[in-house]
Amino acid sequence: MTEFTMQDILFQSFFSLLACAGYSVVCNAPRKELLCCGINGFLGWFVYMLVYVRTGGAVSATLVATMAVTAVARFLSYHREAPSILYHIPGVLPLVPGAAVYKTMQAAIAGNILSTYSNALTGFKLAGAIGIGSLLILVLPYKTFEIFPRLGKKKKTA
Amino acid sequence: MDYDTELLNLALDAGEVMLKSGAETQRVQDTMLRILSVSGREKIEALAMSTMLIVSLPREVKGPLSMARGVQDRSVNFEKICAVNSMSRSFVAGEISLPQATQRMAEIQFAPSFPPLWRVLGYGITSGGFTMVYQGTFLDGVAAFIIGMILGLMVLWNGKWKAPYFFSSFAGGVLTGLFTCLFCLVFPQAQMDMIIVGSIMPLLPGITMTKSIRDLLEGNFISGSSKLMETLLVACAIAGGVAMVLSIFPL
Repeated sequence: MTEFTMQDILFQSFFSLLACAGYSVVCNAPRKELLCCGINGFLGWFVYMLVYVRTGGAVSATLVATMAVTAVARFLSYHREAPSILYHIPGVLPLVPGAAVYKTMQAAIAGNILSTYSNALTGFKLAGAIGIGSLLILVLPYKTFEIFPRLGKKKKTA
Repeated sequence: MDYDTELLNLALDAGEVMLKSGAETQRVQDTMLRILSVSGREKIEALAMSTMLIVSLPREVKGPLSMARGVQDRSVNFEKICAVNSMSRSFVAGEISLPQATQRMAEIQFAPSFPPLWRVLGYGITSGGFTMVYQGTFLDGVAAFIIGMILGLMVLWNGKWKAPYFFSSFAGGVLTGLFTCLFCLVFPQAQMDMIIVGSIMPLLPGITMTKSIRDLLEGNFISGSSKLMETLLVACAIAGGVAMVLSIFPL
């Protein structure tokens, strides 16, 4: 495992911000929310790398990062009055096991059965970590994320 | 049309647009139930599955009324989800009447989206950005940016003649593999795996996968397992497309 300095992590996270904002354009998000989607993508990769560098475990890092992203997504959803899925999807996008899919395929071409199965299983583990991480935060009641009053906008009729 | 039929139609329209735009099953059901609850009756029912919607409303005089609708094509469109969400909120709060809500629903169906050039650029930025995130060099990032734009053009073109989703993914994989190999021929120092991993990122069914696991864990087994199947098929199609090119291409 190569060593990552803080600078590397910030550099990668910045590109994660760009990529997630780009993906929001593909998904046709409202224009004023593009930056928030990007920031969530930044956060997802940043938390992932922090945990990954400390523990070296990709699955636990994915779990923690997904929980952080989901919490921020619900927080933003309350403050900007939009569905939380809008911020959630770009946030977990960097954690999607694309590399595992590629490695599985590469091992399958090379005829390495053992490596094919182990990479496929890694992919499933990461996918499961994303699902469980989101659900752990989604089961919390909506009130949890109303710790600050709404910024800017006037509160609508209750 | 009487009030009840119109109400059911509004709920179905809202559900259809949300399901088409990639909202979670739970949210679709919630929205439809909230719209139906305006009628003030008990035992209303709203079901959403991966490709169909069922709503029913009991009536005192003429017996229960129930409608179903199939939902075929699927894409991702957050703008429409937001619009339907705010429409249903203001309808339930009584700020707009039923005809007004139906009118707004019709407008949402044709909500403006980003111009094609923006979307192609979005694909490019996503691919290039993820190559950089996964520790590619600057050269790899530029290559993935170009390949992502080519993929974006392909997706737009496939959307015009309504290509089957499997073909779209497979062709995306083939194009990625082909152009990556060509690029690596021209620039031997480029890392092939970095470029491919970044480029297939916008095509990978990450949204469907996350939603399918969430559906499964929430107990919506039918839509969860069918979405899981879709995820597997799409991922296999992309990987198969790339693999086909890589195993044929002489390097």
